[in-house]
Amino acid sequence: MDSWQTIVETHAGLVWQSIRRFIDHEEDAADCFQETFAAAFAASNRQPVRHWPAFLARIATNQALDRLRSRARERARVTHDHDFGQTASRLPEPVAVAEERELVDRLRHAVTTLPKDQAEAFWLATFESLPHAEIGASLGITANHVGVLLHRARRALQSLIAPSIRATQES
Amino acid sequence: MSLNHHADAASPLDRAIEATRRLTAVSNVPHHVIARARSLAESGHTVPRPVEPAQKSVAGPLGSGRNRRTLLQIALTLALLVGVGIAATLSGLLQPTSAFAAAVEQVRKMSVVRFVAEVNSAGTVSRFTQIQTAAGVTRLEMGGDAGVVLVDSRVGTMVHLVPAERMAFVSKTAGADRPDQDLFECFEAIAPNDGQPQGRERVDGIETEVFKVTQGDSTQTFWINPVTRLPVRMTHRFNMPDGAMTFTMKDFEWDPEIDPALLAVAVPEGYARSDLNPAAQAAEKPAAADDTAAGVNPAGEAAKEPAAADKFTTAVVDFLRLCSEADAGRLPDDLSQATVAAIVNRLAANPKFADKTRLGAAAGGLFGVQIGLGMTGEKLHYLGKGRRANDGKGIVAWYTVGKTTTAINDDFSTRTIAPNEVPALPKGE
Repeated sequence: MDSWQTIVETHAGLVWQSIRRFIDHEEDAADCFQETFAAAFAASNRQPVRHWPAFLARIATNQALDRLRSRARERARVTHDHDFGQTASRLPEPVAVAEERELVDRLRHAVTTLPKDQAEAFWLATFESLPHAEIGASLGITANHVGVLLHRARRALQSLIAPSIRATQES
Repeated sequence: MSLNHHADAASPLDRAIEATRRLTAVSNVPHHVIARARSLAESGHTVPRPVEPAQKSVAGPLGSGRNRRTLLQIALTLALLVGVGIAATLSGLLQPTSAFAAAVEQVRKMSVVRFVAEVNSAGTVSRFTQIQTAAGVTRLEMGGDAGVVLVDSRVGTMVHLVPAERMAFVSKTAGADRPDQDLFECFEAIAPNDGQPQGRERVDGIETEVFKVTQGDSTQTFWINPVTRLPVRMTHRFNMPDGAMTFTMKDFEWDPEIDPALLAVAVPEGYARSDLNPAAQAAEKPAAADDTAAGVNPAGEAAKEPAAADKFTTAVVDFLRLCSEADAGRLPDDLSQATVAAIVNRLAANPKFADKTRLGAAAGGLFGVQIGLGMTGEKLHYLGKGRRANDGKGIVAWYTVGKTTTAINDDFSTRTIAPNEVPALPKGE
């Protein structure tokens, strides 16, 4: 039986990384981090947690997606309040940086338009590298169904991202 | 279905993924961020802990310091949960506020489903397996001699495969109608707020939420798994004057891998094809009512309009009347699919027979009746061998649905008959 403190300390990095993939704004990310652990805290009272990394990654992804959707609706920070300060020193060229930021934003925005289960499956598989079986167990579906969701998510994202990139290049 | 994600390795999506990985990589969690989460642990909470309602925790004596501390911890935790709106989050995360609305949304995202269907009509139960695609292809595996029915509603084609006879009966369905039990159509037709909650019930080992949707004389019941947001079981009960018929769908497999060959609405190799709709029918103009110029015997008085009780009766009457009109009043010797196919082929090849559109519709209708009755464990009984329309000998055919037996007379009039009026079964049945 793990102590709650152990859970937090062991998985804080994973949760923070999951959230920061979505959210640049540090205060938003910090709030999301608290919400993730609070949700996990409450949920662990209701059901035994078999695999904490997957459990927390899913909750973090959900929290971040919800917040991103909310922000997208507000048409606020996500597109205008970038904070790439932690990685700026590794970026080669300003133009390249701008292009990549644009790609990141487009992917984030496109993911928020997907059905929730597709968005979760896509993010958990792509950025958390969780196996299909683990994602399936977390979502309450089969691994095969996860494959279907990923296929649909990628197909939708391709169609959402490619035209916007072409439009950007043309402009 | 291809799940190969590497085929489009240089795609904008992959570039976006790579950029996201690179630009959003972080190292350490800021101290002030992790400190707040650690505060949850100050109580020494361990996970998982026994499920214990908060009210129960504070029900003991409150005088001791330990219990006051526990109460404070609970209050702080609740405040935190409320403060961050976690109730709403968990509601969406673990259990949608409306399992029915979520199920409607979820099913509409599915592309294919396999399930077991049961039809219970007046205590007679028949069972078959159905595969249904959202695109409108249906496969019914009825087992035994009944074979397999494939329907492609996109093009209006139905193929009935009878393995025992190595026969494939091909027909056109009416327009692009889907089978009545098309699950995806059912969920397209239902509004998310249609489901009336009926409480919870354990089904197949799953704690489900039960919802009912009532429309006219029919009631649909849905047992929804609140975790997957998908139906575990569904029933559709039709209340009819002569008793109820219940259609049950269960043992669902959502989006399973299906061999595409199973959904090919085509004649397999080794099967003899029999077209129940002449190929030329599409080019035909509907024939005039007075078709004697084409050499068709209208069969005189026999052509009067029957008082058809339902679509089954209408379909049978249409086919029998057409056969009698085309064959000088004679009725077919039997209504087996092979005989019907032979009649259709013979008339289709007859240049004097101009009513090919009607022929196709009539044969298709009869075909539907036979499949429909077969699903309920019934069949169409026929006594027309060697007989003619209007021969005055009474009942030509009959069938039973629920507790009602409907008879078709030699003059194509129809009526409901009592059990003691049911003729002896034809020889060989």
